[in-house]
Amino acid sequence: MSIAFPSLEFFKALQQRTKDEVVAFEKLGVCDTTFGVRVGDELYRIAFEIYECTEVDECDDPAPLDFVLSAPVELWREMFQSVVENAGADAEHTINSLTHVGDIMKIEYEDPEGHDCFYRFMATIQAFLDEAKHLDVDLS
Amino acid sequence: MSYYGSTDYLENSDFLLRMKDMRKGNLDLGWMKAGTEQIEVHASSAKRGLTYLDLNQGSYGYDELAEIPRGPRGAAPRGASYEVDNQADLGPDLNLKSDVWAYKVASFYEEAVSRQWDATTDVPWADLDKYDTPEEVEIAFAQLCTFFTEVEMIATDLPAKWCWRMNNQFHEVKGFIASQAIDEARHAEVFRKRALAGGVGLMQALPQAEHSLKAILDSDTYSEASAFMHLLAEGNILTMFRFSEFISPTPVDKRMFQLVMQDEARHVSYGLQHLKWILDNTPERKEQLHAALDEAENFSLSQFDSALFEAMIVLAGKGTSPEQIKRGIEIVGTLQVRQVEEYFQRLRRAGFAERIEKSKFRDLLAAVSLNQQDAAIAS
Repeated sequence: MSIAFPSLEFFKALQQRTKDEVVAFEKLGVCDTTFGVRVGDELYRIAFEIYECTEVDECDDPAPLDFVLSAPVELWREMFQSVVENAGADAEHTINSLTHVGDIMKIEYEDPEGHDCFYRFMATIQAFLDEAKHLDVDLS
Repeated sequence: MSYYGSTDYLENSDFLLRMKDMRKGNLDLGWMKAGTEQIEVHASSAKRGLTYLDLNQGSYGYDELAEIPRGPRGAAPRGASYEVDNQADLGPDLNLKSDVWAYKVASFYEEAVSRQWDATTDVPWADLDKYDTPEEVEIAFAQLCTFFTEVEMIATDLPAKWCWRMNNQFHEVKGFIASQAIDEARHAEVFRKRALAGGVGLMQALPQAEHSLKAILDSDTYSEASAFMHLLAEGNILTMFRFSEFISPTPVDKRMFQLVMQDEARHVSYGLQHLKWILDNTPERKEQLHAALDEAENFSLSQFDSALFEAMIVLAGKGTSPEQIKRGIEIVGTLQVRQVEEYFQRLRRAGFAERIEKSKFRDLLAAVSLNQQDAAIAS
């Protein structure tokens, strides 16, 4: 049965993938950050500790988060479509590319230290999102 | 050889008698009563392992380390017993905690050790042949990699230059900048490999870059060097890595930039936290830092007129046609603004907002007609 996107279930499935692929995530190194993914009006809190995603939930307050990746639902769908089709984001749909020019996807943050966590743990965050390639996800 | 022992041991009868005595089993064992502190140490997380943060206790810890640690100037590790009169004086230049310290430095060290990667195997080099990149784009990319190789070689030298000058009481900082040296060596390696693997090879070494790098290397103090390199130069390079990932001609290059970006961001974070530590603990050094950053910013400005920037315009526009160049200029203009914007944000976070009013970058942005974006920075 496919998992609907966007949904808390979808992000929890990605969380589980970091436990299933423990060797791959350990290879990337420790990742200690709590960030947000804003899909349209919905905000999901994603917490990483040591090597894995430890918590995923819905939240209202972005203030405690290191940074928030924010985009309309259509763009997130397009990104995950690319992940599913290419077994990982293609060149136009990496999170760095989407957030770099033109504010297609925004990085919201209060504190530049939190913002720098986005860069410091970039490979882990990209790997986390790329795990959607293993999910049966309904992007319609 | 320039440091000679005060004793020729084979000519010293006391030494020879003592050796013979020991061989008969007459041990002194006085060293077993060093009188050093015994503490209970446990990994706060078994999965993470035993970290420097777990050792931050009592005489072994760094929280209680004074601004002037009146301890040994040799190789005695912090917490060990030592005899000041008898130990070698290694003559460290950096003996104040505020000379080198940064908030979170122990965490940065642990992160650095954990997130190491391998330029030989972690970039999918074999995939490079799968992609057909236009020749002029590949040439521009090789120019960019040549610049990065130059930068990273000096970024390797800089922490190595200062590491041995730091008092060994500050081993967390020494460990961190040692990790930075290997990070930067790996970056020089990966960019060299990329330039050659693409078939073009290395391009022009850039005089502007080299003068700027020499200025970093010749900084009078470590803190000046850190403000220039970690905060300003590596901050700029971090934004350039983001840009480079964005315009990378192949997924192989994207992977390379995702990996180097992580290391660079860690170095920038250390620089921010060192600057913050200085300003919190020795605010009288502000003027010295202003003077250093005046010149650092001046050198940084020179990067805005070079083969490097032309290469970036070609890469951003994906070619050299007038339309492509126009598009490239627009994107690179955004990059320039972002470099300055993020530098200013870090200055504010470090408690050095007053620097922004003095910064030469404000005038630069106005001079290159980036006024609209500049207004956003001012806010």
